[in-house]
Amino acid sequence: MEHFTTCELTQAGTLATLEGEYTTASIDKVTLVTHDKKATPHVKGLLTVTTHRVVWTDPTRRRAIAAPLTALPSSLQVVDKSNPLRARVIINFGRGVRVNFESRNGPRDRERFTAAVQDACARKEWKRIAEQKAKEAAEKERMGDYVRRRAGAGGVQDRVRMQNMQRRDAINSGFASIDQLRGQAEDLVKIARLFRSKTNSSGEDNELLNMMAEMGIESPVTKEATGGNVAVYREELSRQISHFLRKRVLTVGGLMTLTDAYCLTMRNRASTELVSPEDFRAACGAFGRLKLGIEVRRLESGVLAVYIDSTKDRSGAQALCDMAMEMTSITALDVMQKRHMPIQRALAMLREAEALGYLARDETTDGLRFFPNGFDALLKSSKEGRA
Amino acid sequence: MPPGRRPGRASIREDVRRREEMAKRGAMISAETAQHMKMQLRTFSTKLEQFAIDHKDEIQRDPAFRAKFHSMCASIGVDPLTSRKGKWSDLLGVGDYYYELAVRIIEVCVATRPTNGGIISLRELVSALRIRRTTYTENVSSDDVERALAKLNVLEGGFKVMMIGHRKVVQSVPVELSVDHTNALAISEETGYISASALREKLKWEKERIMTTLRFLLEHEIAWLDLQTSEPTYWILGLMSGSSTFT
Repeated sequence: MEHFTTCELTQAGTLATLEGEYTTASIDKVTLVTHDKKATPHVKGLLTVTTHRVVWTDPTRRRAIAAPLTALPSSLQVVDKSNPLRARVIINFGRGVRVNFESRNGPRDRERFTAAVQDACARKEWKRIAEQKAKEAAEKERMGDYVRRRAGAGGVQDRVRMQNMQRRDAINSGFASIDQLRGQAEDLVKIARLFRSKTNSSGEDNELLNMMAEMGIESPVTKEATGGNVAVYREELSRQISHFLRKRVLTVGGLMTLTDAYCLTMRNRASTELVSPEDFRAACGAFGRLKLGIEVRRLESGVLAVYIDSTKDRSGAQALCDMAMEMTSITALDVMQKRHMPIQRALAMLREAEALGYLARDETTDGLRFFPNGFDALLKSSKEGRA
Repeated sequence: MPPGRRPGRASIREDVRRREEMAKRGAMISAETAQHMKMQLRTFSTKLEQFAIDHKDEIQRDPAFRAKFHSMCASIGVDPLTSRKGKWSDLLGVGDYYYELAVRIIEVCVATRPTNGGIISLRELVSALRIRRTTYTENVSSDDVERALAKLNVLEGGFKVMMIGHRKVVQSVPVELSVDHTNALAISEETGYISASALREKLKWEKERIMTTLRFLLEHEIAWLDLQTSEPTYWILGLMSGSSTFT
C-alpha cells in the first residue's frame, strides 16, 4: 500500500477536494489488497477517481486513504487481472495495489476505473495549476516592474489602458475555439469575476439570488461518474447536497422549502445535467439515515422543508442581532427583504431569536419592532454595581 | 509644503488647479474603463451563450473545464442550461427541458416574492420568463410552465397552481388561502386593486369580515396599501401585468 496516506473528508463524508480537483468516477464495493495478496482493512468501500488522486473511503465514510496519480508510472498505470469470476486490476502505485471490484457490475466498474485513471493521467490537471500559478507570478513581476518604471498619472493611465486591451484580447482569443477556451479558462474566469464585482456593485439585495451566483458545487455528483448506479448516485448526492446546503440554510434561519433548496442547488452545480426532482427528494430524504445533521421536515402547512436545528447553532439569531444593531431596530419586513424569505418565516426567526435572548421586542401601534437585547448587559452591570 | 517655498496665492492656486486636473483625469480614466468593460461584458456574454449551446456535450464531459465554464456563466449572468424541448420532451414531458424550466420558474417566483407575497398570475410568470429568456431558449408557453410546475409536485415545497377569479395563479409560499381570500383577490381582476367598499358592494360582506381579509393580505405581503387615495386601496401586484419587472 505504498503512496496511500490518510486523507481528509468533510463532515458529510464527502471528499475534501484540493484546488482544481474534480471527481470523475465513484465506484462502490471496492476492496484493496496488497501486491503480495495480503488482505488490508480496506474492504468494500467507495473508490473515487479524481483528476488528481485515487481515493478509497470506508463504508461508514469516516476515514479515507488517497494516493496521488503523479506516483503512477507514465505507462501501464493499470493492469487488468480479471478472471471469469472476478473483476480486478493492479494499479501500479509502487509495487502495485490489487483492486477488487465486488459489486454485481464488476466488469463495468473495472472499465470505468481504468478509463478514469488513464484519462486523468493523460490530462494532468495538477500540472495546469502549477503552470497557471507560475504564469501569474511572472505576470505580477512584470507588472511590478512596469509600475516602478512608470509612476505618475500618465503611468496610471497607460496601465489602465493596457489592462483594458489585455482583457479585450483575452476575450477575443479565448473564444476563438473550444480548445482555446479550455487553455485560457483560468484567465477568463478571473475576468468574469472582475466584471461581476464591477458591474454588480449596486448589489443584489436578495440573498437567495446572490447565493445562486456563487457556484458552490464545483464537482457535482453526476449519473455518469456513478456509473448509473442509482443507490450510489443518491447517497453521494445526499452527502454533497447536505454539505452544500448547511451553511445556506443556516443563513436563512435554519429552514428552507424543498423547492427553494432544489433551485439553489441546481444553480450551484457546475453541470448542465440536472438532478430530477424525484432524485432530489430521495437524496434529501436520506439526510436522516446518513446522519448528516440536517433533515427534511413537514411543516404545519404540509410543505416539506430542509431543516437544521438552529437552536444548536445560534449563528442565525446572532446574525439577526447584528442586523438589529446595525439598523438600531428591525421588523419582519426588514428581515424578509434582506434575507429574502417569506414573511411568516422572518417573523418566526425573530421570535426564535427573541426566545434565545438575542432580541427584545417593542410592540406599538405601528407594529412589532425588535431591538438588540440590552437587558442582559444591563443586568450584569447592575449586579456588578451592587457587588 | 516643501521648505524654502512660500505659500503664496499663486502657489495655492496652482495647487488647486493641479488637483482639479488630476481629478478630471481620474474621472476620465474610470469613465473610459467603464465604457470598455460594458462592451467587453457584452462580447463575453454573447460568446459564452454561443459556446454553451454549440459545445454543450464537450463542456459537460470535461469536469475541470466544466467547473470553470460554469463559474464564468455564473459571474457574467449567462444561463448555461440550454436544453431544447424536442419531440420527446414535448410528447412525454420528460427530459431536462422541463427541469430547467422549473428551475427558472422558481427563480422568478423567489425574485418577485418581495413585491407579490408569493402570488403571481400565470400570465405574468410566463412574460417574466420570456424576458429572462436568452437568445437560445424557446418561447415558453403557459402550458409548458404548468408542466414544469407539475414536475415540482414531488418536492412538496408549496408551489401550486390555482384559480383566482378567471385567472390561473401560481402560489410559491406555503400560505393557506381561504375562500374569502381568493374571492377578495378576484375582485382586483379589473382594476388591479381592492378596497373595503368594493368588497362590501360586490361580495356583500360585513365590516369585520372585510377587515380580517384585508389584514391577512397585508400581513402576508400579498397586498400593498395605498393611503393617498380617498379610501385606502390594496394593490395586488402579483396579479398585475408588468409587475415582475419591478424588482
